Amino acid sequence: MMLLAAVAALALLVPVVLATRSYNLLVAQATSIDAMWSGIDVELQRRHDLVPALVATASAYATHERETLEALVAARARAREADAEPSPGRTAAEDQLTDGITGLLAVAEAHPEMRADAHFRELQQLLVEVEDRIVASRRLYNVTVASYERRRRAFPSNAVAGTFGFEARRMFELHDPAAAHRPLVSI
Amino acid sequence: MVEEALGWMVWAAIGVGVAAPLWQRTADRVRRRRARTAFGRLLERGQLDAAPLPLGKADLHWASFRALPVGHTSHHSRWAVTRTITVTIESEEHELRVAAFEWHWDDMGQRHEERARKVRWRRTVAAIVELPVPSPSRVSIVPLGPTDTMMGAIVGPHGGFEVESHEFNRAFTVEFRDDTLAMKLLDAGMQHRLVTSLQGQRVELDENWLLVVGRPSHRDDSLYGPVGDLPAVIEDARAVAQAIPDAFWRAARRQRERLLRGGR
Repeated sequence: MMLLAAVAALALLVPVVLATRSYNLLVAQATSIDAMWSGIDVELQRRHDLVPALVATASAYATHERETLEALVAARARAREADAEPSPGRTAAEDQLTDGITGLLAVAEAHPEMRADAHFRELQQLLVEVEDRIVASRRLYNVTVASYERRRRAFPSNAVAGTFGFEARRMFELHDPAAAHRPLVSI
Repeated sequence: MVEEALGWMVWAAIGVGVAAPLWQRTADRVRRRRARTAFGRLLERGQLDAAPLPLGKADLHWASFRALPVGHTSHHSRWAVTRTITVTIESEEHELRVAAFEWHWDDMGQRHEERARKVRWRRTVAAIVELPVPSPSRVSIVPLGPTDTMMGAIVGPHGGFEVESHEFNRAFTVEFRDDTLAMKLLDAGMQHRLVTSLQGQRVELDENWLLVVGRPSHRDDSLYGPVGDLPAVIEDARAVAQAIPDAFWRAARRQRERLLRGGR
């Protein structure tokens, strides 16, 4: 009789423990995803903030490149107004900004005096540093989202996710600009 | 009849008790002599130089790295060799110093009674590369044991730091202070390099040093014992140094610039 009671108690306890563990892991991962997205958002804002200084420095040298500079300023404005979430709209806006910055750096390639400007070089290095951090943070974010989604869909944690309404999370894909934007600096 | 048999057994036990340590000592002497000969042959090839201390630093210095076990009371390096390797960093070739050696440490087991303790020497092979810029913080890539791998296969990933490669997550765990830096280090190329060539080896980046510790991906069978592992572990360390992504070097350079300016 005692044995039967013990087996029944165990049969009840095991699913409860599994469900609690799944719930706690899903909560932890959802919280991490939110925190990581905030980190990416901060780095993206830093990149937005670098653009006016880059444009100001470039406009002193590249007086005939107004279109490129204006396109970059417009791309920055669109990126600042885009969703605060990792949506396709945000991805498109940030990729346009990347293209705008690539265009500006291509202009710099044609103006050696601009490339030699210490302030411009410093800004370019800062930009690449920020972009390196964006790439790393974005990869961390995507790996965590993938793990969260795996848990959300796999048995038995999918039952917990469904019961408590854990929503799907979206990955955040961007072009990797750091390699193209890097200045040539010796270690 | 029984007494006679017992007598023979006692004499046999005494014989084994005397012969075994003698045999052990002779075998050790032969092993050391063969290793010395192999070490001499390795140096004769002219690619490696013997080093009294690996990269001029005492064993105590290397023992401060987590990748090298310190043992209960003692540790030391043996058969240290050094050479220069060429590594391309951010499209520029750099000459880096590298040392390889066999690392010994004592393992006294779990028994605490003083008399029951028996010192057992353990050993592994290590290579150390001197980096041109210090790593902004320590990153250690530790191979998972068979139990961890089996548990991972049954109950899923271990729940710690993960990268994109499932194979990497099953084979290694990563210790770090800065997860973004760890992610910069473990790009797709580095993940591939570690999974395909360095399973079972521990990789650690700390300050100016890159350590690769453990049985190398291959060995030179023409050289006896640990000496045959030395060229291979150097080659593995060179491959890891070469696989360090540019983003990691940029982060390291910026950190050094900040330190030189006196900032954080």
